[in-house]
Amino acid sequence: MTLFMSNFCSIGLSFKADGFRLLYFGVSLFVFLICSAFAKDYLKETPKQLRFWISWIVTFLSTVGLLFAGDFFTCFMFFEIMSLTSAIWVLHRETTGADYAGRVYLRISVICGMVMLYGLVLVKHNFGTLDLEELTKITATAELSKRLAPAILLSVGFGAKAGVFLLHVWLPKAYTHAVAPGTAFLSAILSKAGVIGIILSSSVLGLVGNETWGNLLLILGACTMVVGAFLAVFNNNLKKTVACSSLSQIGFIMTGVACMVLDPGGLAYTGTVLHMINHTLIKTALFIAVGSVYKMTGTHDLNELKGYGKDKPILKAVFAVCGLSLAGIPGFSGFISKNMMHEALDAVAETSALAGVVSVVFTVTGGMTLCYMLKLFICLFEEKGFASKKPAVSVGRQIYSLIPATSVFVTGAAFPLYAKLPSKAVLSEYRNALGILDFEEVFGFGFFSLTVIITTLISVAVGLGLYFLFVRILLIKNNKGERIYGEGLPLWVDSEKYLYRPVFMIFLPFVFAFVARLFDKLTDLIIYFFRKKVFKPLKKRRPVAVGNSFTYALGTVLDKITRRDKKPGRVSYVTSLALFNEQTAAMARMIERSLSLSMLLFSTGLVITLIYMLFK
Amino acid sequence: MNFLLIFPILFPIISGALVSLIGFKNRKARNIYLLAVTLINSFLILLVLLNADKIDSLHFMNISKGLPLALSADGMSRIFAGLIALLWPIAVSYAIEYMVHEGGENTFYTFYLITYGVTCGLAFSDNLLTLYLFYEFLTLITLPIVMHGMKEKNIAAGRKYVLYSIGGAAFAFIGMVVVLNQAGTTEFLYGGVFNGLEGSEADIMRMIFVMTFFGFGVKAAIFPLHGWLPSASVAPTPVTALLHAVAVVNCGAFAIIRVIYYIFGTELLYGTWAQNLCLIMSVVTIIFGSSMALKEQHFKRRLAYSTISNLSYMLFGASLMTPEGLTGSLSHFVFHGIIKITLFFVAGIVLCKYEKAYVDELYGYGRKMKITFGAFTVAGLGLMGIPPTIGFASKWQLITGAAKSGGVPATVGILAILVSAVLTALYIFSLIFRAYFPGSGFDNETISDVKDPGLFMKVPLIILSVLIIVLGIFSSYIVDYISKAVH
Repeated sequence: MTLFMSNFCSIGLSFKADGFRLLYFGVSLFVFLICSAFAKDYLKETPKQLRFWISWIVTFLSTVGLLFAGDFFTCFMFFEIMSLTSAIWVLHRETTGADYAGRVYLRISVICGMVMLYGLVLVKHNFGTLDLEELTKITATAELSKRLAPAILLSVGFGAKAGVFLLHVWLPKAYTHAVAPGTAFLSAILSKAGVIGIILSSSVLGLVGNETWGNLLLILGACTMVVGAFLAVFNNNLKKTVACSSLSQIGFIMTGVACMVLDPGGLAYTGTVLHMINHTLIKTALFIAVGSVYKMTGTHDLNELKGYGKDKPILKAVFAVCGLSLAGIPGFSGFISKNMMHEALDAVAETSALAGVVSVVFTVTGGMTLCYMLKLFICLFEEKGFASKKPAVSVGRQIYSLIPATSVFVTGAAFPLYAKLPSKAVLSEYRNALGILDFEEVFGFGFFSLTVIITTLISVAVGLGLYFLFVRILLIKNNKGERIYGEGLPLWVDSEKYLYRPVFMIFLPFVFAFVARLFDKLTDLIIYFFRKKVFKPLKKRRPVAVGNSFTYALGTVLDKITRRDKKPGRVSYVTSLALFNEQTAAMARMIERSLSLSMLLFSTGLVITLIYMLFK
Repeated sequence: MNFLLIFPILFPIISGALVSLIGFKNRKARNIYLLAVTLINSFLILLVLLNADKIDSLHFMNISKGLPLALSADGMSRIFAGLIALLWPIAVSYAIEYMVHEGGENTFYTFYLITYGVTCGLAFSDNLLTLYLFYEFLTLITLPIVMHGMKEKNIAAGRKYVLYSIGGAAFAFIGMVVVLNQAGTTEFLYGGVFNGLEGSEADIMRMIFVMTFFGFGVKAAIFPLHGWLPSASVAPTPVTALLHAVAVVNCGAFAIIRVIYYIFGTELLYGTWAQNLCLIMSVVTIIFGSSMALKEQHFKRRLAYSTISNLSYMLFGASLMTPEGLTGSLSHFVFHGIIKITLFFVAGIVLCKYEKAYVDELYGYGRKMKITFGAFTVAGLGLMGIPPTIGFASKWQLITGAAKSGGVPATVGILAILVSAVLTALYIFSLIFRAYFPGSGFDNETISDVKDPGLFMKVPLIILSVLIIVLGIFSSYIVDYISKAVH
C-alpha cells in the first residue's frame, strides 16, 4: 500500500504501509487508546486540558505519519512536528522543574533536528532521491563515505529522541517532569520511533553488515544501557527510576540493533523487535501505575511512598509483572526477547572481542535492572510507614495499567505452550503479513538451553547481590529501624547541567557574543571617527585681548618673569609685543604687495631654473 | 501594453501626495481612501503580471544619449512586484489601527504610499541606471517615515540610515559608471553584459563587482554594514514591518541579485575570489545576525537582527551563482517577507497597545492574545523552517543548492544555515515560552486587561498565518514559478 502527495512542501510526501509499519502502528494505537483513557481520568479537574489534548492528538497523528513514511522527508517532517508538540507534555505542568526540563528537551530536539536535516541534504545530494525503496537499491553499490556520513547525521536526530548515550541528557528530566500519560507515550512510542529511525537509516543506506557502523552502535548501546541502569539504581525518585530504566532498556535495544548490523542473518532482528514491543507495553503499564500513585499522593519521593501499595493488589501485580519481565525472568515476555538479543550478541562475540565485553555488560546490566526494580517493589509494597491521608484506593486509575501488564504476562507465560505448536504451517501466513518478525525463529529458539539458564541465573545473582550488598548497605540509611532512601549520586553527576549547559549556554555564546559585539560596533566606530575628523568644527580660540595668541603667550610669560604687570606705569610685554607684531605684520603686508617682491621671487625662480639646467 | 508599467508607479505617488493636499480630517474617510488606493494599485500590479508576456521594455526618458530610463516586467520584477502587491494592502490595514497611537497620520501616509510607487519602480526597472535612481529615491522618501516620531532617537536613527544608505549607494554608483564605461550599457541581461573579459581586466571588474555588492549590500544589511537596521527599529512598526523587513531591505537583495546575474554575469565571477568573498561575508552575517538576535532583549531589535541574518540567506543563495542558488535566494526573498512581516506585526501590537518593548515583559501574554501569539507561533515555526511552513521550502532550496555547488564556503554555508536555524529556534522559543508558560508563580491579574487587537490588525495576522501554512504546503508551485521566471 503506498500513497503519494507529490507536490507537498516542494518535495512531496509518500506513505507506505507494510509489515513492520503495520505491526508498530497496531502497538501505537493500542498504547494511544489506553493512555487516552488514563489521561482523561488523570487530567480530570486540572486546568488547561485543551492544550494537552490538542498536542496529544497531533503527536499521535504525526507518530503515525512517521511510521508510515515512505521517504526521508516525510520522516523528517513528522519527526519535527512530533518533537515540538510532545514538548507541550513536558511543559504542561508549569512547575519550575517542568519548565527547565521542557527547555532542555526542546533545545536538544531542535539542534538534533537540524543535524538530521543536514543528513537529509547529504542523502539528497549523494543519491539524488529521498525515497526509501529507491535508496535501498542505489546505496548498495555506493562508496562507504557517501553512506556513512548521512547515516551518522540522521542517527543523531533519531538517537536524540531515543535517548542514546551523549544525547540522553534531556531524558531523565523530561520523563520525570512530563505529565503522566505523556511520559508513558514518550517512553513507550516516541523513543521507539527514534530507534526505528536508526534501523531505517542503517538499512536504507546500506550499512547492514558494516563493521564500523555496527561497532559504533554497539558501544553507544552499551554506554546507554549502563548509564541508564546506573542512574536508576542510585536515585530515590519513583518516576525518575522508571525513566532511567527506560534509558537503560533503550540501550539494550540499541545493542540489539548493533547486532542486527553486525550479523544480519542472526537472531538479532526478531529479538530486538520483540524487545521493543515488550518495552513499549511494560513502560506503558509502569508509567500509568506511577502516574496513578502521583495522582493519589502528589509525590514521587520514595521516602514518602514507603508502603504505599500495601493494600493495592492491582498496583502490586502490575509492578511485579513489569519488574520481572524487565529483569528477564523466565515466564515473562522480557525473558524471551532479552535472551534472543543476548544469543545474537554472543554469536557476534565469537569473532569480535568488543562484543564479548558488551555481552558481559549485558548480563551485569540485566542484574542491575532486577536490582532497581526490586528496590522500588520493596519500598512501595513491603515497607511500613505510609500515612494514608487521602482515600487509599484508586482502582479507577490503576486499572489502565493492568491491560498492558497482563499482555506482558500472557505473552510470556503462555510462551512455552506455543513452542509445542506445529509452527511452520500455521505461522507462515503471519510471517508474510507481518513481514519482519520471524516467528519460526522465536519458536525454534532454545529457551531452556544450558547457556540461557546460566546467564539468567548469573543475572539474577548479580541483581540480588547488588540489592542486598550494595543498595541496602550504602544507599539506604538506617535511622532507628526506619529506612531512608538516599539520593546516591552527588549533585554534580548531571552532565547536562554541569557540562553541556556551561559549554553551550555560557562559554560559546560568550565567545561569539564578544566577537560579534566587537564587529557590530566596528562600522559605527569608523563612521564616528570620520565624523570627528571630517566634520571637526574649528577649534574655538580663547579671545585674546591684544595681538595674536603667540604674542599673548610670550608676553604673559615675559611679564611673569619680569613681574612687569605688578609694576605700575610700565607697559606690559603683552601690549608691546602685540604692537610689535602688528607693526611687523603691516610691514610684511606692504612688502608682499610691492612689485619688488614679485620681481625678487621671479628672479629667484629664474636662478633656480638656471642652476637646474646647468647641473642636469 | 507597455504603458501599463507606468501606472503602478505613478498612481501611488500621486495619491500619496493627495493625502497631504486633501489633509484628511475624517479618519474613516482616510481609511477607505488608503485601502482603496493600495488595493487598486495591487490590482494594477496584478494586471501587469497577468499581461507580462505582452509587455516588453518601456523607454520613457533619456537622461543622456545612451542612458535611457526603462521599465520592464521580466521574471524577477514580477516576483518582487507580486510580493509587495500582496503585502502592501495588508500592511496598510495594520497601519490604520497602529498609527492612531502615533499621530501625524497624514504626513505618514503620504510617504507610505509614495514608497509603494517607488518600490514598484525599483522592481520594474529594466537597467541599472533606473534601478539606481529609484534606489536613491527610496532612501530619501523613507527618511521622513523613519524619523516619524521626531524625537531625538528617531532623528539619530534617521541620520544613521541616510549616512549608511547614501554611502553605500555612492559605491554602487562608482560600480555603475565603470560598468557603463566598460560595456556601454547597463541593461539587465541574464548572464551579464560583458563578454570575454580576461586577465587583469577581468580582475578589475571583479573588484568593481565587490564594490557594488557591498554598496547595495548596505540596504541588504550585510555585515559590517548592518548597523542602521537595528537602530531603525525605532520607526513606527508599519515601517519596520513592511520596509525594514520586506520592501527596503529586499531592494538591497534585489539589486544585488540583479548585479550578479544580470550585469556582471556568473561566468565572470563563478569560482573566483570575488565569489568566495561574497559567500564568506554572507555566511558571517548569517551567524552574526542570529547570535545577536539571541542576545538582544528588545523585541523589535531582536527581529531586526533576525532580518539581518535572513537577508544574508538570500545573499548566500545569490552568491552561489548557480541557477539553484538563485531559485533558493528568490524563494527566501518571497517567503521571508511574508514571515517577517507577521512577526513584526506582533511586536508592534504589544508595543503600541501595552507599551511592552522587551521580550521579558511578555509573560503570559499568549494566554490572552490568542490570535496574536498564535500567528507569532506559526510565523516563528516558519522562520525556523519547520515543515510544512514556507520557511522550510526556501531553506531546503538553499541548502540543496549549496550542497550541489560544493566547495568549502558553500559547505560552511550549509552548516551556518543549520546553526542559524538552531539559534532562531532559541530566540523564537524563548519568547513563545514566556508567552504561553509563564511559570508557576505567575499572577494572572497582571494580564487581566490584555486582549487581542481590533479587526484591522487581526485580519492581517490571520491572512498571513494562513498563507504561511498554505503556501508552505503548495510551495512547489511558487518555487517552480520562480525557477521558470528567472531562467
